[in-house]
Amino acid sequence: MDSFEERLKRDAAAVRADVSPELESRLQASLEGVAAAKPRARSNRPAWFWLASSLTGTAAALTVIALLNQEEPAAPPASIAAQPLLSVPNLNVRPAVLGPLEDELDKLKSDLEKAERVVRDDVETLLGEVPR
Amino acid sequence: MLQETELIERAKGGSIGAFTRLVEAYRERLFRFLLTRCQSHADAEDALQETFVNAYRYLYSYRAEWRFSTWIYRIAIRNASSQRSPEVREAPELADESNGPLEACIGEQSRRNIWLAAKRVLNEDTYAAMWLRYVEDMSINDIAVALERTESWAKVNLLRGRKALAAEITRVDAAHPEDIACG
Repeated sequence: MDSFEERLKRDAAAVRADVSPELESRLQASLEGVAAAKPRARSNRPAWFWLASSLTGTAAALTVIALLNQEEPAAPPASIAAQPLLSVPNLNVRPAVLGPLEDELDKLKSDLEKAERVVRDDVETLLGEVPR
Repeated sequence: MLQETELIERAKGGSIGAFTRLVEAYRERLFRFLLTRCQSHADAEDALQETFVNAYRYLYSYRAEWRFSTWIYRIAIRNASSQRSPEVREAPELADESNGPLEACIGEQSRRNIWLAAKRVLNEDTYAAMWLRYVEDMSINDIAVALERTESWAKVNLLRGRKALAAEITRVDAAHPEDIACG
């Protein structure tokens, strides 16, 4: 121990830290008024017990999962199965909006054929017979 | 005379008499340390009381492989910190250095006490580390445990604290050579 360390120790000892009788009785009273806390109840079972119980629990969980996955999916009740999920519209029904359009298309086709015939006749007149 | 470990075991078993023996063994050492940490004599008394109450209450958690002094100092350091109001912690410069409990306990005849200089130049934890090392003869590991720091921190700060304190002592001695002559 060097002189510096000796001085540190000596000067610390020079600090008066007398515990007064009042403080002493106060300490004693406070200790008597407090109850020592109890440690949480700890089981004295050995460590292998906890390992074994953990493994057992894990195995049980895995077994239940495996059993649940082996079962066939439950069939839905017949009454529900018979019902169509969606009402399918009758596609053969001619919507009202399509009728006039189709009539118009027929008329246009007819006009086109007529115009084509006229043009063909004019060409034949001018150039002779045109192969079809 | 019963050994410390035996007293601890008896106190753990509920013997308040055994714990009182431990209190008697440690109260002055702890009180001296707390006087250097707390802002007032009353705070130091409160911290001492809280230290022993908490130690008794949680004695079941103490393990025989620890040094009892380290364990109880750790409780004391925590209590000393909690005794200080936030205002004081944030603005330590507002504390009146001449009226602290340490100054009052040292007295006029020992105004060159090295721990007064230590209080001026060291921060709280370094001061505590120096105290635990050089007054309580604690190991580096015990200091680290008591202050909840690493061993590296304890080593580095002990070295820095010692250097800073030596420099401060040299400065004070140079400024007041008449005090050296008076002793």
